[in-house]
Amino acid sequence: MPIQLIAAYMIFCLTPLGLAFSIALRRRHVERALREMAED
Amino acid sequence: MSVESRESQVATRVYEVGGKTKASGWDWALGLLSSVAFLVALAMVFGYAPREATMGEIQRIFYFHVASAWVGFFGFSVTFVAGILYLVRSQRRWDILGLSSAEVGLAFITMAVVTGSLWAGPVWGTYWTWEPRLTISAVQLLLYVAYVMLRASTANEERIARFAAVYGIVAFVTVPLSWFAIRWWRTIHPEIVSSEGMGLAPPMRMTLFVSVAAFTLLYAALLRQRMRLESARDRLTAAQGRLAPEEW
Amino acid sequence: MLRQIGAIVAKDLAAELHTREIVSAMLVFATMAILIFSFALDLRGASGRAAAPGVLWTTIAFSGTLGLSRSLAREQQNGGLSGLLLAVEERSVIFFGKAAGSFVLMLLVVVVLLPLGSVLLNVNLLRPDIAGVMVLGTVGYAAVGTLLAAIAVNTRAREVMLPILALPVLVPLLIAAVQATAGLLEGMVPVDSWIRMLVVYDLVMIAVGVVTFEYVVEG
Repeated sequence: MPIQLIAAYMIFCLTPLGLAFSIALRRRHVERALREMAED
Repeated sequence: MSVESRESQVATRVYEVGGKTKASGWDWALGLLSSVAFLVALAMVFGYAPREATMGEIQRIFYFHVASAWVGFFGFSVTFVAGILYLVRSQRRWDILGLSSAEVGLAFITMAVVTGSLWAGPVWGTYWTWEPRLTISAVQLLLYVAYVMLRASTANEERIARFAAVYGIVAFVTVPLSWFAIRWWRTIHPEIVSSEGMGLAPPMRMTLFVSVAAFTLLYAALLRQRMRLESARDRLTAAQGRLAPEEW
Repeated sequence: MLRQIGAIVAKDLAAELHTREIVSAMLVFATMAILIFSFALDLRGASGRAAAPGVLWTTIAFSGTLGLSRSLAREQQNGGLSGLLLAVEERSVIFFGKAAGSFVLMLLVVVVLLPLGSVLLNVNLLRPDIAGVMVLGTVGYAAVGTLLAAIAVNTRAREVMLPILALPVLVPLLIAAVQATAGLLEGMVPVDSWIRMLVVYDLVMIAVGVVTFEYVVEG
């Protein structure tokens, strides 16, 4: 299998995963701040 | 007065808070469905689709590449429509939709450009050529990188929402204009390489169809999550506004 | 309406005539750009002629962003735009006035650039048909540039933001303008479709600008 093909499909798998992960991370950050505010 | 309604009252003073924040059953269903579809498409690309006769294994890039280019363009059309709706109605939810769609679309168009270049290397003998479709993806990449940079560049949320809506419209209008310009340009100076006339055998067509469907689902799932994030941010802003109203 | 547009243009040009800071900056920049191109790419004889359309339009594109962001930044410093917003009800009139002002400024640069380019790039650019292409390209540029500069001045990055926003939007204009200019210089390639492309681009961008400008300058 050509190296370009493997690289391409790694990009196809990792980019959406990375985006989902970054969204979840930012979301958790915001939600923690919200919870902290509610506790105050 | 409950906390919830006071909170939303403060928020409407700034601009209307759009959308729910909590994950619903639909979110899980959509996430699961898109993951399954993605895996099925992946399996079809490597297990079901036949080996292309002239290009060989490398042709398998084609399926997901086309799907991500399509989803990127689709995401930008959603941003365009949401931009118009935001300018007409000034409802925050359209702004959230536009910005989320542009961000998700940008991820997909980036994949399309990078993998297009990976395709060009072995097939056309050069990692970059100004082939029309590759070029239009690159132009879209630039346009929406600019869009995201614009969004990140101002603190005044209401004004930046209007700017982004306008830029989303201008950028989207640029896409067909660029497409015609690039196509005429390339036909005047003929290229040796051509991506046209690639006849697709039925199993290939089926694989492409499933890939496009899977990517569209993936787009929907990511878009929903991105919109939830923005709603959560709104709630935070509203809650902060409740504590320190002079900030506004 | 035409009278109001004329008044805005006249006011802008009078202000510019007073200080001359934008036109002089654009002219010096354009001259330097064309000089740098000509020795960086070693543009002599035939190679100069072949590169002339690209060099010319690249120079116009970059000096244009320079002038536009400067003129809107000045507007904002003086609070001129807010006065204008109070005085003129119709936002599209302000858009046309501002765009026409930018158009005139850029045309001045083009007027200097054409003979300069003719000398340095060893090609005759002083022809009415080439001037026509220059005008068509500059109209679209001024429309896009005015709209996007109004956005860019209100962001944190300002002068940096304008080229980032404007250049990708100008891609079709630049392709069409370069191809039309090249076609006219080589004298054998058909240029009708490129001219048509420029006209369509101008009309579309003016329309988008007229419709959306009010949302940009509001508040």
